[in-house]
Amino acid sequence: MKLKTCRRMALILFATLAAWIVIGCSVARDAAIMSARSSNTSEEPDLRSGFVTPQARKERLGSHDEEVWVIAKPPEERLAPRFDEPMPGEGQLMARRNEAGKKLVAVPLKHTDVKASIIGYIASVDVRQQYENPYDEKIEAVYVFPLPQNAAVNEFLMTVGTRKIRGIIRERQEAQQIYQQAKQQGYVASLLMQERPNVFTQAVANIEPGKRIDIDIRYFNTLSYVDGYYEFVFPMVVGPRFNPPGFTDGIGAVARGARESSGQKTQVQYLAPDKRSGHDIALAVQIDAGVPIDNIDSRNHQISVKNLRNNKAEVSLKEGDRIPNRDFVLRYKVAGESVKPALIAQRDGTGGYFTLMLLPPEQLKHLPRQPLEFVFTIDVSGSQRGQPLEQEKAATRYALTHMGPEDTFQVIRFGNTARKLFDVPQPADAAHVRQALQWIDGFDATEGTMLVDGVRASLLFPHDQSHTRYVAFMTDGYIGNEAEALGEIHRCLGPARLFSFGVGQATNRYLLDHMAIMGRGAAAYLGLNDDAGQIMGWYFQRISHPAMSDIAIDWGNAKVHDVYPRQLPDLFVGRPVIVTGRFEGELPKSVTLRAKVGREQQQIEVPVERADASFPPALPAVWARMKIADLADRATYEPGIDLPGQIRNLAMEYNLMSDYTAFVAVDSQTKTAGDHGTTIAVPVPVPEGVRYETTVQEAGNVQPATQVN
Amino acid sequence: MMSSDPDRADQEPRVPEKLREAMARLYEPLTGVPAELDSVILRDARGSYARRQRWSLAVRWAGAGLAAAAALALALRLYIAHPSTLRSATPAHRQLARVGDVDGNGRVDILDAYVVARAITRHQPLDPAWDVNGDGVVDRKDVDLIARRAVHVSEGAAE
Amino acid sequence: MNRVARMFMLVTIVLVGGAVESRVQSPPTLPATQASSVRFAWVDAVIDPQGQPLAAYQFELKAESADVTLVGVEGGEHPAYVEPPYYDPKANLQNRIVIAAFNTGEDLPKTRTRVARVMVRVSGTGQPRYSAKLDVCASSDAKPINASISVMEGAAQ
Repeated sequence: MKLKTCRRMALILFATLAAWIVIGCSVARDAAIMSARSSNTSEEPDLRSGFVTPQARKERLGSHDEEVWVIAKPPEERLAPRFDEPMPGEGQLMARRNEAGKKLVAVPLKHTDVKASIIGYIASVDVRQQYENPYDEKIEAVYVFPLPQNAAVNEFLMTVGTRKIRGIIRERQEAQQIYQQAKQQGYVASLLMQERPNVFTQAVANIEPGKRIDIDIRYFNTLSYVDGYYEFVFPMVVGPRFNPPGFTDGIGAVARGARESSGQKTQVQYLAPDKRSGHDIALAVQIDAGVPIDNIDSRNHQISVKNLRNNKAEVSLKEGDRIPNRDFVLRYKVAGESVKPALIAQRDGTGGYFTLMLLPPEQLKHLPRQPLEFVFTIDVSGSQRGQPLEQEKAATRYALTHMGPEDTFQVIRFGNTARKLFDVPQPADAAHVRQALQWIDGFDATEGTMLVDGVRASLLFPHDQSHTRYVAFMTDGYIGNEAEALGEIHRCLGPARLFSFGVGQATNRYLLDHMAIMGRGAAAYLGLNDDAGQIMGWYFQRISHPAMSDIAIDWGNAKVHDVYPRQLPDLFVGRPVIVTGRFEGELPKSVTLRAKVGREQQQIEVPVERADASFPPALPAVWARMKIADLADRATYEPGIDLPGQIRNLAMEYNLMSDYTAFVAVDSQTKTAGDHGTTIAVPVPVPEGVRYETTVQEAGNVQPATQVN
Repeated sequence: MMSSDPDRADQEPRVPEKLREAMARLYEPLTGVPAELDSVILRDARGSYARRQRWSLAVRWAGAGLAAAAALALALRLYIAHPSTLRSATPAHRQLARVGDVDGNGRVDILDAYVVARAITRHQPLDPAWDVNGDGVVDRKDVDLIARRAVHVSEGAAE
Repeated sequence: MNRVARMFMLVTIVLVGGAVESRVQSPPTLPATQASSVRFAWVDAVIDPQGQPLAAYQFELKAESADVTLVGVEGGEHPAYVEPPYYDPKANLQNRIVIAAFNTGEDLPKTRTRVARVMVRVSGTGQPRYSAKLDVCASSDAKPINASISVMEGAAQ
């Protein structure tokens, strides 16, 4: 009996011991997993800035429970060193200085190569970014850069060594997820996302020391025709933006390697004035104008021009002028008195597409204008300090001394707040003009950029019915809350017209062009090398004759639909408008414009010429891009409509970048050793003419954004 | 009751006459329903049933009529909006597919692009019908357009 | 069995039961992207033109599994097809993708050659199956070639 009991006891004890071992192993495993999880996911990694942001981009996901970011290194291991400390393995590079005496800093973006081909008024542009790892550790490179705001980006290629991999376009969240997974597993991968219509983020993961990865992007866009010149613009740097207090969906500006986050969704790192990166840019443009070309020039860069026969020319940046710190603006005139309304059409398997350049009829030049109520609104924020403010003053002085005797005027300055010179607009007589000139002479630029306040101040005061209000709004557009500003213009405009003036070397052209669209006016640009009087003189020339407003186009018997912009802007002398649309069957040989000229309703027949040139398969992309822009503008003042869904579907159908789609490419063949390495943001110079001290967030700098009067 | 069986009759108890009469009264046959009442009731029932049947038929016919009218309205609307599509015997997508079908095999594929590209490369005569983008010239852009068409798929579904 | 042993056994049963239950109800989880086994691989499309010069090809590729995502397309091994082929960037493998390329030059592959490499992401633990249908295979005189296509998955080690 005793033996039986002992056996039983032994069995029980053995079973109990086995159970304890199982429990113990289970607990230990759970603890290990929980420990790994908590240390790696305490904060979501920010692939843009090189360090961890405290705020996740959950609003992009549409669901706060959805997990996108994979486990990353603990923040203290992933932070880039302070801007004055060497990056991994770059010590020897830091000792070098360039010919200007600036310290050279190693950055993972070595070179950008731009090749543009212009046919008529459509440009096809290939941008190649060469990423190379100058450090002795594996890295992820993140670069925030600009493209023209009407660029239809529809091709993406990654080159790893000699191998080329074409990327795919997906919904933004899915593309981010693919990229993050590939990055975490050590694969070479790249992701291109849109932050604004003119601001993009390129991320390239797992670049091994010494290795190079090229990213090719192709886009199409239409040129603008401004005061007799075609204008091709390639922006090179995103200017430092001001973000209103409490606004987090903006674009932050921080010093290179800064540990602190700006708290914004997108962030750009800037080089201190005494530093220079090795990144340079080469640019070449081939023009096929279809007619002889006159007078090619670039205000901001030194170029070499080769005039070829058959109405063609080749333009390239000179060797010594390749620092990417200002917009490349190429202007050229074509021979002949003026351009004619030109229609470009293309058919593919989905139907017909066209663009039409609509010119104001000649008759308008012979009609005098009505008395106007001028409003001159001047940006006195910190980014305008120095040369940009001087240009604004010069332009305003010219305008103040060229108004008509029956005009009235007001002057407004805006920074942290907006202030008016007069309580009500005053006649443009000598005394009042003198008073205004004295006032603007005393302006300094040290404040924030509450542009929305400037819009309200310009539009929301009592209106004199006998005078049409024309607002000349001068700014560089360096704000992060563009959508709010555009929505406010739409809300406040009424019968007024708003003309935007972009002042600076690298202005926010997306904002400025769309301010003009919302304001039913026109945009002009005043670079630091431009003659302010000449630019303002063209403005006065433009408005010295009545515009055609409330335009409707009668296409006759042609089957035309889906024309954009839906709301046609006013047609001013010297400022044609490009419309794009779909068609079936034959295209019209002429169109009829029904519009108001001054106070009278008029009907004018405009013959159109089919442009006699061949084009790349660009028109469908151009049309889709314009439709997306129209939808995005509507989203600023129609928040209830599911425009994001429409934009996403359209962008996917036409393989276009948008706020809701992204390109991604993964090289499944190249798996690098170790984890994903350090994230290095590519720092950029502040735009030429912009003061680093008043615009970039650095430890110890007082931020203009925090100053509130 | 008096049994007719004489043998049985001797075994049954004798029922008093008065009781017999009372029982006979209890078991008097029921009075029959007059034929006129019968026919009235039946006529009424038939009429009611017929009414219900008529109503049911009417509802069905009305429904069918409405559906037919809706279909006709839709067809008319489509016709007005896209007369060429409806008039044509060929569905729209097949018409579009023929744009770029250089070899006439009923579909657009890479061979169509190759034929045009090869003709361009070898400086051979170019068929104006190969100008698929309608710009007046047969060149590499048409080749590209045909090739992209060959690999195009609708979003989320095979073509 | 004495009282102590019984108590010990009871405690053990309770603890084991609790451990099992906790693992069943809320097992410690990794973020979704790591919890599911996600891996990256490639699919090579190989055509054997049977000794004829391969001037143009077009094939459809489909994944039989719902957990395969297209993440890039690369060209082939022969210089004539080293550039990435034509394909629709928004296409996905659940329906099909169509890949095509041609070359009008003289130097063309005549033997078995990889014409394209499709990069994929595979979710889950199963092994996906791929099917390919060769729609066009033509020689330099635009005549059809009686060729075969095969697809095979590869993965980095």
